[in-house]
Amino acid sequence: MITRLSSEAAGVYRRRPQARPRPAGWMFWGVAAMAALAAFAPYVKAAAPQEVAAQVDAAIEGELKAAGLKPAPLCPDEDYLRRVTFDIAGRPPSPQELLLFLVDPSEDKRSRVVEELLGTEDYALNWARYWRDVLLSHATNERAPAARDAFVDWMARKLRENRPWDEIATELITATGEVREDGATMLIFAQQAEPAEVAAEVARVFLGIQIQCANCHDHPTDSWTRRQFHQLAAFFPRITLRRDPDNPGNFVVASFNMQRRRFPFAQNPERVLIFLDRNRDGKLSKQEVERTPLGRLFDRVLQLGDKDGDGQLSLQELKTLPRPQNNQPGRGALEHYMPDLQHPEQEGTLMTPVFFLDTSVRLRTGTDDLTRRRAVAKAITSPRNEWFAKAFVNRMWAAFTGQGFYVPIDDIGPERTPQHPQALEILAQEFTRSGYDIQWLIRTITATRAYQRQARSPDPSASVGMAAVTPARLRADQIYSALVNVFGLPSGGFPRRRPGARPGRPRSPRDGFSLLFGIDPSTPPEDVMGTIPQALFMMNSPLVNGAIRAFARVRLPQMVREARTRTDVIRDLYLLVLNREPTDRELEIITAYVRQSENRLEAFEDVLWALINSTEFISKR
Amino acid sequence: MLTLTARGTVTTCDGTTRRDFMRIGALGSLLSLPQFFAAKAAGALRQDAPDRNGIMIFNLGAPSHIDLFDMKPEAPAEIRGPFRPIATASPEIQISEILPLHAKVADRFSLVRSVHHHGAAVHDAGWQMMQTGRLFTGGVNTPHIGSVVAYLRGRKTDLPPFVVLPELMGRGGGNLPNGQAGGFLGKAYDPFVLNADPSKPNFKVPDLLPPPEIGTVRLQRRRRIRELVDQAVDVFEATENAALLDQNFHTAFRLMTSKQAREAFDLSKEPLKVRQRYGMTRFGQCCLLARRLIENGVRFVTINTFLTVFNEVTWDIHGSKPFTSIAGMKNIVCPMYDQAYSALIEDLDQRGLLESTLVCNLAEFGRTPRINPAGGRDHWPQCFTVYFAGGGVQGGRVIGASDPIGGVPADRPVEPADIAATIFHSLGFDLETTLPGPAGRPFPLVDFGHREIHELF
Repeated sequence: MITRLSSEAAGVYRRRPQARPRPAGWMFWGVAAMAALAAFAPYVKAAAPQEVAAQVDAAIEGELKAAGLKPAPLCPDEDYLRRVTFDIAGRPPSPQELLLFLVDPSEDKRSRVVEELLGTEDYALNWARYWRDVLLSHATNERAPAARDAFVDWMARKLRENRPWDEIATELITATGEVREDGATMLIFAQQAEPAEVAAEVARVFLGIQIQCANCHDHPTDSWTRRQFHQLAAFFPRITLRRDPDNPGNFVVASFNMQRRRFPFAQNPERVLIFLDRNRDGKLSKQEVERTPLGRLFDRVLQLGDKDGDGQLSLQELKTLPRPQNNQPGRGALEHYMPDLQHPEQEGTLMTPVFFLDTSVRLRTGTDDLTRRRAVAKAITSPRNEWFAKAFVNRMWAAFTGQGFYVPIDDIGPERTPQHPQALEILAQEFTRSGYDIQWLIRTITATRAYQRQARSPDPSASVGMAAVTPARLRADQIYSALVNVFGLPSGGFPRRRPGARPGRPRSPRDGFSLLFGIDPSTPPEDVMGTIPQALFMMNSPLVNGAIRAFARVRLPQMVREARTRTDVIRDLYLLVLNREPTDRELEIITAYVRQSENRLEAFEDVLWALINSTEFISKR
Repeated sequence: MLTLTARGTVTTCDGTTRRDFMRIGALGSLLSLPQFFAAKAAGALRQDAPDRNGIMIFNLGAPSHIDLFDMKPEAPAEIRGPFRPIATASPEIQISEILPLHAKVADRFSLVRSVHHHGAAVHDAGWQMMQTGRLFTGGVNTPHIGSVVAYLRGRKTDLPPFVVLPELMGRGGGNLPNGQAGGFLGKAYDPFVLNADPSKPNFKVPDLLPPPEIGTVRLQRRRRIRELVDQAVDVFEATENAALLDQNFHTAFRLMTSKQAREAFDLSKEPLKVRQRYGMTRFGQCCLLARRLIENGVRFVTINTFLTVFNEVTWDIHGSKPFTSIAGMKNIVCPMYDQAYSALIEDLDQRGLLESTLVCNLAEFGRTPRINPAGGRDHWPQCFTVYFAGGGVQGGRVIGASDPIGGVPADRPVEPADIAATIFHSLGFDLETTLPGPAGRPFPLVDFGHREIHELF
């Protein structure tokens, strides 16, 4: 209590909504220092982003120097503003924002703009959509898109309130509720509440560890065993996915804790026979079981198990009754069984829940659903588990700079070697110290010189990367927002064309755009090359062309009225679409082109088309 | 950097990556893109190899070999199933009574009845193996055969070299990549995907053409302004990523301004009688479109008979919901499939295209010999049938055989890599060719020890 008061009095400490005492031993410092600080642990002040950024830069630049590589110079202000606005808010800067930023003489304008952007609704929405794509890209449930809006609502709220990453992770792992109401259920819904799938996805998203190969056999390249995988899955067997009784189109994620066996007597056929076989002929007849619990079911059991068709059940027939299947997607089961690959029809081996990275986290069989899920969430988000912080830092770093410490970003773990391990270590430790404060991490990443460098493709011959920012294609939602920004439409985007379409089908132009341009955010940028249909869409689709025409007829005359010269109009178009000034050559040629055209409106349409179809427009530079 | 070895294969000392053509571009005018592909193709093709193209009909869901192509009339009822075999145009082939039109063209295709693979009995694993010749392991996604063709030979005309109709496969139960992409060769060799249903009355390729009011002159003007913009930012333009996105624009632009491409995709150019002969179904019109695309210079077309195995009537006859029953296969799947396939073979034959066009009908596995309690059959990679026509294949033959219940190969077992080798062989490739694999390491076209099924040719 005293620590709490003192920390709040200090005012600069990170505030946690609920003071959860943290176990000692999570710090990377020595054990002695740890003991002294244990009482303060929940409220340790996060280091200032600028300081940590400086340490990270020192580490990266040290390695670059050792490798004989010269880092790229810092990018100009206009590139920085475009980059950081896309990265944080998922949209381009408006011409006004750009001009104000360029004329601002203050030293700290680059960090101030980060602060402003983090406070916008665009930030919450952009990253909520990012995480939606992360989870949906690996969905095994075809219906998963039905939960997308609820998820974005939920995630945006979390990000808006800057809830810490461990809280978000815990809620995703322990979620229950209706999938269209409670967005936190989407991870589980997307994996059909199937224990093995949920385990694999939880490991991938929160730990960056791809353990799912160990589902069917020991991991081919890593040391993960089949047993470890199924022990992880054993935290999740009791999740069920049911149709909502009140609304058949909806699903509910719930806990399954009741004994519900189809034929309980099949557990011990010998005993059943001894008790019920009154005439001692080694077979059960309908007469014999009439007044027992089996009586009611006897005809059905006969149908399933009476192999010789004599109307009675022998011990052998009882023993070979088909068992209710385990781990049917979403049905829920009391326990998780590791299937016997030689005999998949059998029940398999009963698994107790054990967390593979910290085997002291184990539970007994019989434990109820939420206790299991809370236990695994606690173990995953524990500061003692370095991979929770590293997975997140690696992902965010890659999203911002275009290059992860580990590539691919969701395949990390103790068996992989990162580049710039020291920089990653610093970021992960400080992120943990901050109490998994997402905005703190964004402030820190954007404050590094590594983030503010000019864009260049990674040099394949270089032994170590990050000498420059890697240019990346914008994500679908970012391109869409850019189009919306250019055409001055309200933030809802282009008007809906297909109301009430089925879940999973595009319900709005933004959704349709997502389907065409959507990429798995876990893909390295150099693998995101775009496709011919995407290029065709930007060139020819009625949506883009209609918007260009409307723009030329409504907005352009205004711009022409407001501007003094034709050149100014072209400048304004460049600022609006590409967020930069045209070069002298561009200005000269395009001005001449517009001047020579018989139809000036059409000429401007053509310019707008060209700008939107440029590589620059769909890329982060 | 680029070495054309005596054997003819293309290798590089620093490892050719999928960006090799960009690098070649960086060499200035040393080698133009078409020349580059010509050089690569010259290395990869057998000497005096015929110029052939391929159509892969992928029977997503996996047809029951016992009910269709490899019938077991002597087996017990729970194995032989409800259908009877019938005689065909080939004395060697008997086929199911529910494929009567196949029977009429059986002198032109040959069955391989001893295919099997060791992958898991999930759809995705079979899709990978049958379309790329390998199961994906260790994060190495091997390219679709069509992507390899696109990589080694490039485009012939304005049309893309590799097209998938009508859409990419959806996800399978295993949630694995489905093998219908460029894999380690990169997205640049992904297929062009139609993304439309050609049997719909208002069928057109989405966004293939500019709005009608934009004429050729304006279109060229637009392109010139765009060039100007893309040249403006030097630093950015120099990056390979940007250059690839730019490449993408040019390919798309060429496609959209090409008269040939426009007409190739225009099914209204076909007489109604022809369209009806293929059947006014999605699959039927895809087969017809495939023929038009091949005629217009596409090198490889893959047709997915279905888009997913869930909640659609497909070959996936588990017998229970959300899958298909044996009756569903007989009444819905087979009639449309039988009509379209026989039309394609007859049409190619009549136009003299069969010799230069390999048509292969593949699937991810077969189905269980024993009918399950739901009255269907489940996944069975241990033994199944595929078939080939055209492209140098002699029709009317049966290669390999299964045991008396269709459970395992009894004679001449064939693996997915052999099938890939057969396709590459028919298309004229030297099986010793290597591809630039992950990390620039040479990757064999087909795994060692696998050859074409020579009995077909």
